[in-house]
Amino acid sequence: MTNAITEQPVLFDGLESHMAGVLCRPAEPTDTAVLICWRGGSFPSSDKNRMRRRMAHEFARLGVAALRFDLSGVGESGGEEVTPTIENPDARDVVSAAEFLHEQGFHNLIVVGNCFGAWSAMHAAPRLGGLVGLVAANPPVRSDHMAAQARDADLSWWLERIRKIRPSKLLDPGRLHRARVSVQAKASPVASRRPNIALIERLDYLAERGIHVLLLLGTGDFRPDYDRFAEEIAASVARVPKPAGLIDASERLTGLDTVSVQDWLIRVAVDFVSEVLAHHPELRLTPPD
Amino acid sequence: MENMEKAGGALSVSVFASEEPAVRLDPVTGHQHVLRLFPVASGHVYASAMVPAEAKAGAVVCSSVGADLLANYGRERALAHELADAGIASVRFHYRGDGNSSGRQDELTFTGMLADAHAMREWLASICDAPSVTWVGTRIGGLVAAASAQNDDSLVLWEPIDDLSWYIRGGTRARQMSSMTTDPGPSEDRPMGWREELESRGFLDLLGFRLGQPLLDSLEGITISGSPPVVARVLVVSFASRRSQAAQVAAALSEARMPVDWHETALRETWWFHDQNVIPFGDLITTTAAWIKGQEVADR
Repeated sequence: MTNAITEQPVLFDGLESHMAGVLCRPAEPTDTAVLICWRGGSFPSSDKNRMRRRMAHEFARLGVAALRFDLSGVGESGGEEVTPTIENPDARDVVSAAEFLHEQGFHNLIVVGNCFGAWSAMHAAPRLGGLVGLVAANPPVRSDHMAAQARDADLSWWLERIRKIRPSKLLDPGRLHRARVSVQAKASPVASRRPNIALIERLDYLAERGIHVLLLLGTGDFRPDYDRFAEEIAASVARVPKPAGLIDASERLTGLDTVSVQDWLIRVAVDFVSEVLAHHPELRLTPPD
Repeated sequence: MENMEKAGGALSVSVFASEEPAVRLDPVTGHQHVLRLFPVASGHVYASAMVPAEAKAGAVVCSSVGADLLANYGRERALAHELADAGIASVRFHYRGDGNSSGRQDELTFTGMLADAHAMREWLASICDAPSVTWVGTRIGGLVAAASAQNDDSLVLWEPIDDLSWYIRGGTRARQMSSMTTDPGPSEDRPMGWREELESRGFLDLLGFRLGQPLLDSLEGITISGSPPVVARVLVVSFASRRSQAAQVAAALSEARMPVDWHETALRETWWFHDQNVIPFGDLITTTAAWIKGQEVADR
């Protein structure tokens, strides 16, 4: 454990514009870094209740550098903010951040991601050099938030949305796309068959390459899919090399306030990264270039 | 620079701030984007400057806290770009105890916010030597901007909050609405009032945003209408929300013989509820930047 850490604001190249972040280094860093990939609306890299900042400090105390960054169009990063989808997540931003870490001499990477941040990292995994481990909290299973809501919504949900339809809204391509996705999700009969489960495909990819994974399942839009495909998800995580794990945290976190949930998530992620480091002693030996 | 903090658990860590700023020159616009950890008395302030090639004037943007920060961050960044296009440099920042700045959450107080704003005014002075600046305050940041602006400065207030109770009521009401859709059923317990909750827990959790007692205590009794700033001119921007204190603030400033301009943007904003969708800007940015540029031209 180290108790002296340094914070440094950074700007680096993204695909279309520059990206911003804060690099947090321990007193004696190695060439392993944690990349914190978060999604949650338009939050800058500190996040709600400064969660990502608190998390970065904990990793630095563990002796590992951590980068938290703003997605394109968010916080201090340039470019346009885009709402990610299951097919088109923010993978390019994750790759840009990983490339920046590589340029800084961090050749081994552990990703800690939430929701579409986790999904973007899983999507980007083939392009993340030196990826050793991944913590994925509440990732989507097979669709984005809108489709997941629509698929499991009851009649009153649909009636409320139909009531709000205005001709001007139908002219907005973004809204039209979301409406189409919602209707397709509800109408799709795939729930009764084994569908193409994107999350499991990604987990299998990581398992084949020997990348350690901790999967955390909470509440929210993707909960019905976690329950629906519980067996498939568990079987997929079982194929991941140890240390690996699956934690269904929905009951454990019920009734806790947001900061307590965040503290729990930070502790679990830090413990997992600590386990991965213990499993690969070589990761703790080499200083960055 | 050293700043002792608790990191998650009980142990303290020393957080050092790198003195090295991150700088990027935009090849198209020629604007310089600078990110730095600006040294202040007890730590550092995460600050961002957007500087045009030849800055003729400057603006300091004072953000709000909690959910408002999420709603307005992109808008404030867009304003910085728009101002730079007009030859006006601007600085934005995270208050100490919040965002990427140093300090524990209980260090986030109105006094600290004012001190941070003052530090940003000093940084702006080193970037552009205009004798007066425009202070932009958004929501609770309006209290900071109004208290910081003086004499020949101009003041822009986006949907200003005039008193803390009103702001908290909005948050607790939103929380009640949210709980109606998520709670399994009516509770036997009487819901706590916000002061009671603050007393018992030491903080308010408003839809996942924790507001600490030191901040709320320090904001008690602070209003714009109670002690209107003496400045050159004010623009009050009201959002299309049914509940707003913007008109009250504008009326109080007019009564204090401040020249006040009023703009009502068509942007609808609930302030407390944000989903995954991209937040719109409407005419907010162009109108605000044009007004600030107009003040700068008038000054010359």
